[in-house]
Amino acid sequence: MADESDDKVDKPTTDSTEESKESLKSTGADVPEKAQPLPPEAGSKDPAAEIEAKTKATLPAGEKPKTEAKAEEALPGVEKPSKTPAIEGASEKGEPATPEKVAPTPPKAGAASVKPTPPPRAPAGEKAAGDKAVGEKPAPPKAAPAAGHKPAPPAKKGPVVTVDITGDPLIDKIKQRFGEAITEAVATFGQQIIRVKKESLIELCHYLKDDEETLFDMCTDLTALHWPERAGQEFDVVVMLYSVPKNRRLRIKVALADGEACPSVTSIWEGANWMEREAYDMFGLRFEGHPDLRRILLPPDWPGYPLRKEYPIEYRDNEWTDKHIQYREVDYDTSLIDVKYAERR
Amino acid sequence: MQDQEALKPQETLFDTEEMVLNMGPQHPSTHGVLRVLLKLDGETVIDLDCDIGYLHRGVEKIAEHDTYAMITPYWDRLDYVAAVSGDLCYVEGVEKLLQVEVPRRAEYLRVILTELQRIASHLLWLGTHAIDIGAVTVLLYCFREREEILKIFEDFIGARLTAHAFRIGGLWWDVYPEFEKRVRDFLKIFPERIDEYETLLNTNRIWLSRTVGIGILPAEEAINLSLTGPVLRGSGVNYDLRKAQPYSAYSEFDFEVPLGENGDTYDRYLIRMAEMRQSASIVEQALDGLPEGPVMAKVPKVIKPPVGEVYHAIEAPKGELGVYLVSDGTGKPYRMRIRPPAYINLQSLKRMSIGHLVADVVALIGTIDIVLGEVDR
Repeated sequence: MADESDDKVDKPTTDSTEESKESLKSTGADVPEKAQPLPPEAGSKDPAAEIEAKTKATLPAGEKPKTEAKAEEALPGVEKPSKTPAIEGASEKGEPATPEKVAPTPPKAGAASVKPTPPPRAPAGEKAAGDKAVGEKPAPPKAAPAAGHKPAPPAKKGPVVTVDITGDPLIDKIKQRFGEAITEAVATFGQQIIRVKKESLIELCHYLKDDEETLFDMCTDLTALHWPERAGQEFDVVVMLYSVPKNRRLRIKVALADGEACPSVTSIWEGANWMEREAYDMFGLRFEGHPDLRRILLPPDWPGYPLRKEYPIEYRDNEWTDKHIQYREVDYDTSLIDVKYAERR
Repeated sequence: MQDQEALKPQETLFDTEEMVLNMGPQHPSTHGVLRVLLKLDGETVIDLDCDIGYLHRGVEKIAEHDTYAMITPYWDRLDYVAAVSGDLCYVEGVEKLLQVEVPRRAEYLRVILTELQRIASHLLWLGTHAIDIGAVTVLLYCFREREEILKIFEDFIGARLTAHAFRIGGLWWDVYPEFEKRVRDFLKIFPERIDEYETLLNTNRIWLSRTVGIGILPAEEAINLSLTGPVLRGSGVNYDLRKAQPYSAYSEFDFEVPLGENGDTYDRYLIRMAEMRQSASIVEQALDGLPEGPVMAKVPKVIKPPVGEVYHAIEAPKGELGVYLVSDGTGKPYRMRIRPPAYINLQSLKRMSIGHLVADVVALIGTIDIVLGEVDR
């Protein structure tokens, strides 16, 4: 039983090779780690991938089964036969490549044309479908785009998780109405994302909230992403919407240049107020039309914006802490302590 | 009559002027380090501002420098009175990204633990909410039952509060042999205990006058303010992620979503009480149908999800707890955004408080059910 499942499952995992890669990375690639933003859109070259390729080359293929077995022992929970392999299908390639090898580089446009691979296993697909389609409401059975519109091909795990939305009535309608302003409409893991030009954001949001068919009456979340290497479009503002009557979600993305202001959606959804303040606090993004744009979690005079990629993680001792906390090294006489201890004894 | 008219405060000898009152960050009724600035006219609140961030640790930044497995314990420390729920949200988010299917036994155990955690969280809420309003007794009753749940956790997980109950792919261990019996013992006594709390409060005159009609939120406004969880359902909006977009194994259980009518503090209290009963019922069903089998899926030791992004949300005790993960194909997330229900629900404090008295602000902070670990992250 255990053997069987091992055979089936473990080939692609190559844990030990992974590990060696990991260590290689941590020793050699401090810099790329941080400077490696690789937006999926940009499809830039990934230092990690290079290192992986290197490791692969140095590792004879014949060695694999042995190291695997070793890693297997180390992996907890493998004694129990699992019916759900984490990664399957990669063994079809017949080479010791890790399935992640190809992962970091698919440019989105290519991804669309290659092979729409909805979530591979049926249950995952179901889950994803449930995500956006219906709960108990009879609402939009047609609107099951990514997970539903193509029956899942026999599970083949690939790096492609993002597909263009086709045949979704709602998205088609939005596209028709806003035309050029919608630059992208994709689904990933069954979740719909549209990218809109900054100028049309407010109009689109008004439409999404008020239109009978969309009724996105709740702004679930608003946040931002920083892609320092995407010149001219360093930031993405991500607005997540939910429609209570229709029970579906939609994610809107707006690309911004550094220093550019984003139109505020607080006039449409009041709840976005603190979310925008947080985005301002953490990324330094300004929101035009926000009633009260102040920092919210950090002190008003805090230096820098922490969630930008260039902001170092160890930045505890800075001008602000110097000014307000006045941390000082305390110089104490160790001999004095010894004396005290001696006295006590 | 004329004399009384003449004695209106504006026309008496007193000068009246607005006052700014600073409540917190060490005020016991603000549940941690929440600082509220109140602008008062007499004792009536005319404006309010929340000052938060005293507990800010920068979890989202830390996450960008940690591997996927290393991040899980941070989720315990967000909402530290409902640590298991936080784990579930994150772990399921990563599993979605990895496209891992969790064994059914693990799913069921997750449901059991999460629902027990919901009960524990609601009990703590009830106790502190009551003590804020002045009913000290309830806290002692609530802690009696909460203790039982924490002991069950402790024997299974090893920790009472910051549980780190789940791993990516399932559970680290299977439960111990007496687990089922102990949970069933708890379920046996628990409904009676809820009756006890309700006897103390439901028709208590002081309780009613402090909660009924306080902080009324109409449904539309509640949605517009992005409220979720019991605060939203108190206004009569049927939005519970366990029903609306079922995750884990919730689609297999039969339970109701309690809804309020008036959207006031009393309704929100009733809803949480009803939710505890529903949670107990879910736990019972899950125990009855607990399948055999493994509790851990095969997950690569080094977790490297494919390039992509995913948003996953669960119904935490406080509302919709979400995680937005962006992966660049490396072992660390490119960005992890936490959608904190308490933070977003706290926004409504201003809307609810204006026009009420200072003492009601205390009740309203309680009714939102905030945990500052999650608000400040």
